[in-house]
Amino acid sequence: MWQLGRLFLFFLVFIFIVLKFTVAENFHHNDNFKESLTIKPLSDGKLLTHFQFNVRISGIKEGKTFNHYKFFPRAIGQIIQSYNARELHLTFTQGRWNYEDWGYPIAPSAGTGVELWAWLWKDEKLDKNWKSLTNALAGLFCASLNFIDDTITVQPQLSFRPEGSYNATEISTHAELRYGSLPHENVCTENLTPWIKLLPCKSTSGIASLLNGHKLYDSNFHSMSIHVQPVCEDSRCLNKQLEIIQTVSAVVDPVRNSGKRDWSLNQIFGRQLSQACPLAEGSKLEVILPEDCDYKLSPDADDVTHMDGGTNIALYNLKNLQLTTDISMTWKEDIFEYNLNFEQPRIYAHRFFTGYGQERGGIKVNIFNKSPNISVPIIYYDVIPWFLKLYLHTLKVQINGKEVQDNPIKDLYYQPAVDRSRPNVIEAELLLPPNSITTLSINFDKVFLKYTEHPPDANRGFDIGSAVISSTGEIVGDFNYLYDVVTRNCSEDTPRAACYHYSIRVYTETLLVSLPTPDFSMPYNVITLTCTVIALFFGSMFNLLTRGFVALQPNEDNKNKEGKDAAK
Amino acid sequence: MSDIAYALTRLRRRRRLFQTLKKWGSKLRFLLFAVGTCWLFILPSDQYHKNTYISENALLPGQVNTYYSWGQVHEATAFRDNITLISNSSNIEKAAYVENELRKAGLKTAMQNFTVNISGKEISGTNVYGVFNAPRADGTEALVLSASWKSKDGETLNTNGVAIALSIGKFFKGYTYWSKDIIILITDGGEAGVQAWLESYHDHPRSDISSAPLLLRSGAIQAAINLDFPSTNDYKALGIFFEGVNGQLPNLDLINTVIRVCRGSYNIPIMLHDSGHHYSNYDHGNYYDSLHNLLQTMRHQALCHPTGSHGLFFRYKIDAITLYGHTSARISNSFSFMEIGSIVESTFRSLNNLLEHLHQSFFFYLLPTPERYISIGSYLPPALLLAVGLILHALELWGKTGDEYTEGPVSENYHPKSSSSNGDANYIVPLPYNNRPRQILFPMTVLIVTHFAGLLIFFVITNHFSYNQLSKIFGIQEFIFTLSLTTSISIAIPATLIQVRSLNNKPLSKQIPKPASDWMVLKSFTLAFTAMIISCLSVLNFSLAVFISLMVIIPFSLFEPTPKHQILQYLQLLVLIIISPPGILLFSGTNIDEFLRWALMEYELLGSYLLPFICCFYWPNILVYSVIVFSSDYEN
Amino acid sequence: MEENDKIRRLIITSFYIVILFGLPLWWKTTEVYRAQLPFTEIEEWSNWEAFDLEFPTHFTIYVANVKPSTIKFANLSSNLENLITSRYNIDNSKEANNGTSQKSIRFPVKIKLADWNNWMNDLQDGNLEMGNLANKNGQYSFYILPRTKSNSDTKVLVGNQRQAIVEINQWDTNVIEKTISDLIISLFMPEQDAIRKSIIEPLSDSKVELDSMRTMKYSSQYQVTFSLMNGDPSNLLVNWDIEEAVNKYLGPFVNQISMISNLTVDSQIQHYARLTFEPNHKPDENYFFLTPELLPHFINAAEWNLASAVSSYPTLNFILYVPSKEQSPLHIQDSKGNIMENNAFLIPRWGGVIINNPDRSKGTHNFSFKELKSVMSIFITQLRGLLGVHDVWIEAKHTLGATFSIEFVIPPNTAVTMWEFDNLVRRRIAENIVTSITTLKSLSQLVTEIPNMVVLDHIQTEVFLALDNLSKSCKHLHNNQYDLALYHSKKAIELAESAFFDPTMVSMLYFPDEHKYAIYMPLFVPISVPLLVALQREVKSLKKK
Repeated sequence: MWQLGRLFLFFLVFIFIVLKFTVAENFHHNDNFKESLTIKPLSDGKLLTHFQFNVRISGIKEGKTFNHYKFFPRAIGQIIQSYNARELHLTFTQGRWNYEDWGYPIAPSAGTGVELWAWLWKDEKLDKNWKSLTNALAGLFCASLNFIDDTITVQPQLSFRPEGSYNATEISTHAELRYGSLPHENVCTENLTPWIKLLPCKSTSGIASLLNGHKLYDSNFHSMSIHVQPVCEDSRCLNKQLEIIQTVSAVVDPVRNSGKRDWSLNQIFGRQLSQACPLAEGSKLEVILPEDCDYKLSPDADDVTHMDGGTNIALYNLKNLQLTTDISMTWKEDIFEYNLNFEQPRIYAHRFFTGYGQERGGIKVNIFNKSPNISVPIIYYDVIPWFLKLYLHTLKVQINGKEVQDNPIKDLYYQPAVDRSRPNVIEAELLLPPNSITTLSINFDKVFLKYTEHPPDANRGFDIGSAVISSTGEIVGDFNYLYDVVTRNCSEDTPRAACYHYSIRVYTETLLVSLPTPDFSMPYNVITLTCTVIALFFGSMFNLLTRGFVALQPNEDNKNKEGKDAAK
Repeated sequence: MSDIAYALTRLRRRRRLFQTLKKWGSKLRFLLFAVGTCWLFILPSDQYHKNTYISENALLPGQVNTYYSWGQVHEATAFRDNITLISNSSNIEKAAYVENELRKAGLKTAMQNFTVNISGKEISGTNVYGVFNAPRADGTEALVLSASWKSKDGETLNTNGVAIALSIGKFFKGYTYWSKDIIILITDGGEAGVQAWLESYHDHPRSDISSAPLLLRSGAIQAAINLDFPSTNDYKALGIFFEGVNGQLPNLDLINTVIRVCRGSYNIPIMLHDSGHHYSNYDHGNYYDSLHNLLQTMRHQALCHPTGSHGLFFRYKIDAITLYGHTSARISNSFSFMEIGSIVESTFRSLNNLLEHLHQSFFFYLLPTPERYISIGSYLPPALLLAVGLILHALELWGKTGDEYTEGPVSENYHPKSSSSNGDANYIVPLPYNNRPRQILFPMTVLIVTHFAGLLIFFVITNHFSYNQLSKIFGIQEFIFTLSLTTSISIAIPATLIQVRSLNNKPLSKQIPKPASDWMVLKSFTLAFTAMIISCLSVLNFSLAVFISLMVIIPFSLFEPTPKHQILQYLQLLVLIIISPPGILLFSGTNIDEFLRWALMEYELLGSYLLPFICCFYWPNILVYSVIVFSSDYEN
Repeated sequence: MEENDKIRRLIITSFYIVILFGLPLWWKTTEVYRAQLPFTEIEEWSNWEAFDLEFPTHFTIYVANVKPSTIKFANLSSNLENLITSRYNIDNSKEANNGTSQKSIRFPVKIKLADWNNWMNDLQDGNLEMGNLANKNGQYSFYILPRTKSNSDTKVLVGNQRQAIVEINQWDTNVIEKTISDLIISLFMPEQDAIRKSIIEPLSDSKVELDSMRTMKYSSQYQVTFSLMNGDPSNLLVNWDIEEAVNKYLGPFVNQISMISNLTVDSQIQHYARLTFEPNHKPDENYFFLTPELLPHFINAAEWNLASAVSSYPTLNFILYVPSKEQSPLHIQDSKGNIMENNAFLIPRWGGVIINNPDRSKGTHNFSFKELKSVMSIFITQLRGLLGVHDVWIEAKHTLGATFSIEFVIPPNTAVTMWEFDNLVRRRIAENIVTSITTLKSLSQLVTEIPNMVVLDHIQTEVFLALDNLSKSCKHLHNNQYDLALYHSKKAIELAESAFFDPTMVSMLYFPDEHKYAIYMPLFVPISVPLLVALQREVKSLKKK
């Protein structure tokens, strides 16, 4: 009996080794390409669809350029190499990720607008490289990334560690981080089209053929991103690969149309899934199954894997399955009831302006830690433009609305703004006590901008990019709550241990601050009026100074004397 | 010597000016006053005001087709029935019901309990609100659709209002064209509730309302519509309320939008406020309707009192109006949920188009009819004319106190030519006026002391309710106590001042040239001061300025000490008492206790500046005048 | 009284002093910054005053002293020089009557006679690797020896370096003179015509020369991109060993040409590269074909990612197109309707295309190193054309006619012989000089025309440097250092371009003067009135005294 067991064990090991080996085999081809579509029903009836395309090019030596592209997009490769970038992360997002209802996003989605951050190798013209990097990307994606200038660019010290494989010393000595975001950038088809053109199969076959602009931009939230990063081929990381991960996440709302949360690919995307991309090594469609089990999935999945952390994932392998029917999911309910208790993530935050009026105000952030018994260390990162003058002495931390003795701020990095050249940066390392609301607040004065510095829609106000809360390196307690993040981020063939440094990032809302605006309709009138006032003042002063004063005295008695007096 | 001749001519000119001023001054003043007052009555006339127009091109009111239809109407009726069912259950239960409904519609919801202890009684309640996050929008901007449980009269339940708000909230959720979040706010406890919500939404405690901090928020609020549709029956006309605290007004575009929408889709008669003429399409009423509307507006503005809970939004740079369902107009056809819903939807669609905060159109205007307006440029002049009259008077008095005209011979035989030709040693210099010392010590003290007295009165009144123990001791009602206190102050101070003056004005009679009597200086100061107040106020709160000036100008310019006839003096005093705040209250027959409570509440809760203004600016001048009337006059 | 007047006058004068100082200050602070540009020099250059070029060429003629040395070669060299220069000057005089100053361009010739007898035997079997190969650009050597074989015409053997062997059939001075002069003229005349034209009417696009249309505008760097376009990967997956091929086949050429302008090579594979049109179908032989009319529409610029994301340099695209199953085999027909065998075509100033129909029996195809050899050779010829490499000898052959038989030593792997290379260098030098001058000219025009344009200092310096480089390169041409001349001409054109396309030139804050005055009017007029009145009053009173 036990021999049998042993045999079985042996077989397992054998199979494992074989698998491992084949996987390793795959690496030594120069390029490989994987595509996957993940669909996750959310607690409020909405549906998260997440496209992910990984292309890896192997045998990359640091500093050695490569000019011959197979799957890896040539445009990106050129940009990376000619501007000497080590990592590149670009995300276009529209709408807010609703953390309370939707949990954590699968891809580390960014706050509203465009977010670009890159690790650049140190050389004499690093800042020039960053500038031209933004310009090149702007040209590539038809986005106004070239507006990321010095007044927006920052160098985070604690957050935004590299996401690829790296060792700290090398990074700290040889590379520098640049970060810039444009909160009020509208994302639309003209950005998606070039993004699709980077894919090996374009949008003609494979899951990319589902990317339909009309449906995509009718969704509640969508975010598309490009991450270029070096990854290790093997656990000892002897030789590296360069990986580009292209993702599109969209949250669609079936309930809005039908009142039910049933979905089918055709209904969501308005297209059929024809076949897998012939170039792709792996092409799969996953459905993360919800807890309640009164649903029906058709056609049946090839395989249902049970992940640790309680989630089941139904997997369709598009390579060997020729889709005849549309994939769809139906619930046994005639109308969807919004359930009143949401799945809440462990950590989320809300940020808002306090006060009113146009001369001063304040910013407050409520950071929630819902975990019942774990106190979580996080890094709070916020960039405030220079036209809000922060007062550091007003930085207060409250926990559950009360001041506390032991300051939860473990480490604080603060860069004061310089007018018209660089923004305020706050980076604080906090320890959130279990089941608490930590509140940071700081006050500012508003600057009266120059007449030409106002945008065309001055009365709309200025957008402030979202603050970012990123988990520190170490994983605290059980990390079910960042389970999705981990699995999606490191594609499944990298060793699991290497994934743990993937950090979650939680983005707060973007804010709209209204500054005092002059009357744009009549600047010349104002100038002329002031000129006139000055002139009048001058005239009167001048007259006073140059007028002759004569003293006259009345007395009736003798006129000569008086006349003389008068003459004086 | 030419410059001497020059100086002489200029001297002459000035003298002539002064004489003319002295001669015509009083007539001129009267003229100014008359013109100003008449002008005020020209304002409502049809020729004077212009048609309103939409300045903000993005609004495009009434250009969308509305989808609010019978399905929503049925939901609304269902809500209405439920609300009537739970009408007399506790605040919490009602709020819980609303929250449940909103959440079932898929909105994020939250409750807010607040209590405020103000002017003796404690107000507490539960606000409930839901936020609809606009899909694909960054949520930096928001619109508010608010309705309070009680209608503006404070008794009847705002059933339909709340019902519509709920149905609208549920209805908006189904569309993706929203670029701004939408907040459905159901407030409790009247204005206190709205104030509490606004304060904690902006996290900026102003008044002493104690409320839980909000955890659910949205972006910067761009505009707010407040629904007030009392009880459950149909409505004849749509009343529009727009005055806010301290006479602030919303941007005219907002009102225009709502009216355009009503005109465009449905022929709903509109009335400003809840009385007077109701205007249907292409109807501008007659002069008296306009006058009535203007008077209404000016009354509200002068009392610095918001005509609905929309009025509290203005402080936070949020434009808002209240839509009121008016039942008792004599019109055949009536409207209900369907129309109201569509109007609200269409209005919100227009506001949704906004790219910038409402800023294009007027913030200072008067509305004689819903679709015609008077801009600040046209209505400000009368107030200024009135003020100018006072200033002239003050100047004249000032001159008088300074100069003593000896109507000496202005030598007619004086020719500059001749003087220049034959030696300029001796020629007749015309007698210039000669200065005499002005006594400004006493007037200054009087002014300062009286205004200090004003502050004192203000202090007393604001702490009205804090010393009811004292009033217990005297065994009288607290308001009487306060009243007596204030009146005693207002009597004591002038009296003492007069006494002080009459004691030490003996030695002055010896001085040569003897100075003008103090009352002149004092009067000129007071007039100048009043003119300043009026002119400044007329820009901030036109109505209040006008009322004050109308009340004050005649007595202030006429009154002066008449030691000859005692009766006259006491008559003047009587008038002064009548136009003094307590006097007004007494003669207008308002309940003083009520008024005190009301004024205090306005001041402490909403931050209206009526009370401080009355106490610190208006009343002291009256006191000064009582001093003037009784001050001794040794001019003649 | 008096001191009053004095004080008053003092006051007035002080006011006037302040204003007198204030006005220039105001003027200074409100003007736009404009660095001074050397307009006159640019003017001189642009109408050929400061401008004289000469492209000297030296020939060394090694005449075999064959027994019996009957003929005297004493005055051969002088005769040749006279002959050639006269021939040149004929054309010069031809130019002369269309009015351009003659001093601008010259092509002096120097001919040296050397006699030799050693290693002649080696030469006869055409190996030229020995012999003095230290020649620079512009120095050529002809080895003349009598024709042995009883073949009537003259045989020329062209070496890879700057030399050629001429075998004359009749051993006679005149014949030799004639032959050599013909040879030299026909070798260098076209080039000189081209240069002269380009200099004399620089901006005349009227001249429709095929090569000038085909060759790219000069740039110091080109991006060469090889793209493998796959019509439909779903039934044929393609791959190629491009890296190896590039290194082997293209590398030497790139190195050789890098002196003129260096090429950066990269490659990509594009899938689902569909044509924008349906190619014609010939049902009977069952193949698809493209007619010459269709070729312009072949490139689908919108779909195929051909643009470079980073480089601002011009890109040369070479496309190996594999049609989809539905459209294969795909061929190119010429106008007469017969299939072109190499199945390739060149797009002027853009790149080249080769259509390849691999067998799609097994679902994948890999273009191996061998297979790419033919492809690359076509690409390289196209590349030569695009870069403006002229195979001078072939052209010469056409002009010389049938009496000459020209043969070549096995061409080097650089794919460009020294003759061609020199020719290219000379043309480029001329072209660069002309373009940089025209650029500077238009820059100066722009600046003079727009008075509100800001001209910063670095622009000024760039212009100065450009001019300096121009003169340098001319100087080096004189004492025929073509390499240096090329280098400086490159510098000149780069500087000129960078000055012309400088972003700061574009961003000019337009604030016209009339606005300025309109705004300041209400300040100046009311201020000036009392001042003037006071002045005039003072003057009057002074007159009185």
